[in-house]
Amino acid sequence: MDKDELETKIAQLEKLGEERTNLMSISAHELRTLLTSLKWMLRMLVDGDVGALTTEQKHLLSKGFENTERMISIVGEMLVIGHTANPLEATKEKEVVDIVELIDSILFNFTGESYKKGVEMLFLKPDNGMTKISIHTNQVRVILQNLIENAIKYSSHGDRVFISVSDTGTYIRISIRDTGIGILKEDQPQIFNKFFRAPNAQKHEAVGTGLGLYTSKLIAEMEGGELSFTSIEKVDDESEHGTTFFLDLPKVTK
Amino acid sequence: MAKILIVEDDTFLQGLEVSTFKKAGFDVEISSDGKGAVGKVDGTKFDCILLDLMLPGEIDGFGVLEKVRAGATNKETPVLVFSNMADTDSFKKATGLGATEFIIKSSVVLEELVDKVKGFAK
Repeated sequence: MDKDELETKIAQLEKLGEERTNLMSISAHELRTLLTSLKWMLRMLVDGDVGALTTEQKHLLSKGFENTERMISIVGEMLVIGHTANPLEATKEKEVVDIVELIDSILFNFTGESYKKGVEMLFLKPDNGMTKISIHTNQVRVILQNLIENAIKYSSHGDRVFISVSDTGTYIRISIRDTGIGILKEDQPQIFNKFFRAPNAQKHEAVGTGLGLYTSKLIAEMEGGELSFTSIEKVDDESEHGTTFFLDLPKVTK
Repeated sequence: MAKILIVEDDTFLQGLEVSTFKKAGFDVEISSDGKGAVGKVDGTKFDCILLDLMLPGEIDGFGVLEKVRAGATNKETPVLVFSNMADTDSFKKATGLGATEFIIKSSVVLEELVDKVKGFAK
């Protein structure tokens, strides 16, 4: 294949990739719209807005509401996977961004949720200006949103989430530490598996797809970085517990 | 009584939104497409506008938002974009055009939406 043929092929693949992404966006939108109406209807029924229910009816409809929320999450995360797992995304130009500014903007979107849950978020910003990285911003945003959302989700009222940025030499490391429920030792090897949700996580929070960490690790590796963690399961309120995720991203090379 | 405009093309969702907001004590006007919405925002001052993005016809939600911010009547009116287009580009475009807030429909229940609108439509 000569250079011109190759360039034509690449252009065709990029177009196909774009059409696929658009199709997924439209399908996701349609699914979300249908699920929204189902969610709202179920909530109105559970709340007694259209008449009183028996205990059993309320229980069944509540389960339906939970499952609808779960379906909405799955649609969202499958959209992310479909978009980010497209190899052509990795061929697009990276941007040089200030990771501190990116994290700030993401945290702003979570202020309502963390306040409602009584979870304090603390961003320990670095003193020096070593925070520029070369990334696909939208992709990395997905990882950070996933990790921060999980940190809040698996924490309880009074817990704290600490976010910090450091330089490991090869990478810029973003650490997200929570003081929440932690991950059991026996579940840790599976935490990045597709659709895996640890039993203690499911008990703490019924809604979840098990796709968030799988997607995040995939994106981190596509960005030339790594995603890892340490965790101690919560046994009681006194002993140390919680999870720290480390997102390592390649530094800007001069 | 606070006056709001709901711009929503899905008939079923529109019906649920309208009845919920009326029960909550709002004076509600509706539009099912962009052209109708633009006509309403030119002539009537609203306390809050709830705006879907995917609308039939020539003018979508972004087009309506542009007109709202360019016009005199509702230039400062809070516009809550209320959509299931949950991608970053839509969010950036809506915010850039002057949306007060971007709410993903499937992430809220109606009572949460009412509380939000109450906060804006004081």
